[in-house]
Amino acid sequence: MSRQLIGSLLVALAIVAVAIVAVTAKLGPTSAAELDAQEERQEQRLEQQEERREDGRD
Amino acid sequence: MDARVEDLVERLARGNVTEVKVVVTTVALALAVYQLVLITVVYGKARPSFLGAGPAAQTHRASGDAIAVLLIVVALMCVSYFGLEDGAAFHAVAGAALLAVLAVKVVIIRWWHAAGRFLPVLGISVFLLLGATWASTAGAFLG
Repeated sequence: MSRQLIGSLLVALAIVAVAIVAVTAKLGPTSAAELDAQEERQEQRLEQQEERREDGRD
Repeated sequence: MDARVEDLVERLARGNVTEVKVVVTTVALALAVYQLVLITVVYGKARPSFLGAGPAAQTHRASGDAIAVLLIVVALMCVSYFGLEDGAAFHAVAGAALLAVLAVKVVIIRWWHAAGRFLPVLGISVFLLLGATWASTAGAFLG
């Protein structure tokens, strides 16, 4: 009885986990946090390129 | 809605309000499908050897409570952050009807036992309304 209850609750938890993983994988890089991170990385790259260019002139 | 609530929702979702809403609603829908499976065991329509009606009923109740909490959270996010947007009338009506039917179902389960014969119809209605509400936003967003 209690084993069946625990088993069926674990199935519910597995369903929750699968749903979260599937939807998160589908959404992927469209999330605002990921887009912000991409933008930040791009800005850093541009800054580094500019710094290198300035160093090259000196 | 208060700008502070809107700000709180945005901070909790770390700017991904729509995405969080889509994930939470999809989890609720996935659990709702499991609810249908469990209730067929509870009513004896299916008799698997590995799951009796008692444990199935307890899991159905626990999962149902979780779904209710998830739907209330999503509804609060919808109303506080998105409000009533143009072109979202179907979503708003389906969502409001979903919460209303769910509230009636909870009242019958907890206090109004005499109306227990309506629970199967209400359960199917909750499932269909949840499906319609999900399809009108999350489904379209994921598609």
